[in-house]
Amino acid sequence: MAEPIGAVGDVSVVIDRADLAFGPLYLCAGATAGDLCDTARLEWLDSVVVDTTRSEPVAVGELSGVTGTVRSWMYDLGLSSQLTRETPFVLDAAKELGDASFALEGTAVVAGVDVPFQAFVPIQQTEDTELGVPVIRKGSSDSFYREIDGSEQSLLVRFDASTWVASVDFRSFVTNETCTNEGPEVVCEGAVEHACDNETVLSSRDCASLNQVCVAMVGCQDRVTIDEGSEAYRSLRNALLSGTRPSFTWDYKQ
Amino acid sequence: MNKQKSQNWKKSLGALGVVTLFATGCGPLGSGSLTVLLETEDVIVDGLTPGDEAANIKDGWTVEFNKYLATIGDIDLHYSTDEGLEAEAGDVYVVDMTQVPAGGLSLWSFENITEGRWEFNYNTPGAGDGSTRHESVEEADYDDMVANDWTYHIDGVLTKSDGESCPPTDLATPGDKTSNGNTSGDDACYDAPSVRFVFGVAAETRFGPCEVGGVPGVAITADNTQTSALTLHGDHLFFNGFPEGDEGGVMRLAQWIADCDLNLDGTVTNEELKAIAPSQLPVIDDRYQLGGSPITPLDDMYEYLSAQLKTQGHFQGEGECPVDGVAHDHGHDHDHDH
Repeated sequence: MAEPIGAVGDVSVVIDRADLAFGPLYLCAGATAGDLCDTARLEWLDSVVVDTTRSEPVAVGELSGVTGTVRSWMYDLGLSSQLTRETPFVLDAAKELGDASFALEGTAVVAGVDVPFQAFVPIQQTEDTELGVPVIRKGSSDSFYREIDGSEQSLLVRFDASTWVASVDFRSFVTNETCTNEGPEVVCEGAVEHACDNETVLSSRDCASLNQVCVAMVGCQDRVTIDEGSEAYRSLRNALLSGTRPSFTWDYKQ
Repeated sequence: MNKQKSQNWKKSLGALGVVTLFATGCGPLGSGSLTVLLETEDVIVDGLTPGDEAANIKDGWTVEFNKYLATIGDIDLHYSTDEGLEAEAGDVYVVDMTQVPAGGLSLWSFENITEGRWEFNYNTPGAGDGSTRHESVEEADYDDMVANDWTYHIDGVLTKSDGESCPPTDLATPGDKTSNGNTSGDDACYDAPSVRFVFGVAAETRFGPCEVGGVPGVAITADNTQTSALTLHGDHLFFNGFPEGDEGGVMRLAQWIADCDLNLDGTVTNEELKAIAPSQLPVIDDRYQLGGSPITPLDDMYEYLSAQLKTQGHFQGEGECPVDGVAHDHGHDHDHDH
């Protein structure tokens, strides 16, 4: 992902970090995974942090299981739910990312204003969802079939995080406000921070000159943190869960 | 009782499903018959009520369906021990599931099929591909289904005394409506004690091979008539996930539909669903687990609804049928006579 990504609203985004906690992975005999896959035909029970900005594959471990047909897959993103626990196990990969599944850092350019940002997104089952079931499963949009005969040398799972980032609307992180009666004490006019006393501007400073971004109601900050509850956060979460799926390639050779 | 009903429906429909039998070889086995019913989950007829029980709507809404038209049929059976032995009832009907009697509708039958266990598959295709209107469906609705090649036409009402619609601010066109002062995320809310929803949805799906409690398909015994049932559930559009098997872990929530009423006219339509990305609805939060969606990416709420409707085909009540399974995805040549 060396090239800038076009996000919602023609916003250009450069990604500095897009680390994904991947695993465990299960391959199932049936066309539908999830609760209908009590026993996987092949499985990899470990987890690893995948640097999705790199295109070169990295060997992460070995699938183990038995021969036969596999028609579906399912995996977790470093947070593995068990039926006997209300909270998932935090596997090593997720621990590396601060108990998150996806760590994203970069800079979006919104109307000429640089917006450095970061997001940490956990993807996990909760007591409100399907405990004990891996979070991401093959859908009917995803093609997957293999007669496993033991001759397989490798399985390449390739993630394209750029499509996830492209779904995010960063525009709300740049605001153009002025001081108003009963308004906040700090407002942002693009990259410029104003300290307010009602309509009176007490002081101003250009966050960009400090290599910072003006965050609404906060002022100059090193970066925007995409908080849980924001639309941008939901975009990332939904993209990880139901956005573009990884590709699976058998016997990949470098 | 069922047999009598079956005969009545045969008369009213004029023609039953054409049954094509494909057989290779023969043996000493006998043959039997299979009658296939269409069943409706009681929530389609009785609606859903708010409460804390598993089957209740958790966010306080009451749901009633005025119409729940579904396109269903094209049943095919595969002999469990000989994939080459197939039987097919190709007829597809558009039926109003709110009018299906408690005992089910007898719509398909198979005669003289080899005794033994058969894998069971069926389809919910688009209505535009050779379907037959059931008498429970009004002609105008049927014509609409055919013209749009819809699988479902669902017309229902949400009610809640303190209900509200909180459409995404960037998309909402409230006109002269005044917010009630509440917000969902940053979105203003408006009083809405009643919200109608009218959806026409393309959700072509193949269900199967079906099983009940791990036992696949249906067992045919010689000189007997077995009965099986296709069951459509009606509450999946309120699910907070896409469970493949046990539905015990899901929660039913209806607020998302109310929040899709962008123009606040009291009716949510296809066009409104297509205008809204899931991330634009604050209520689609971490209570929702979209990782099992049968279709991806889920770019808007119409696709979300379509994905939910693709999961609601069952077998014999709560029996499970994988969605869009082997027949579309087996990756090798195989003889099919659909």
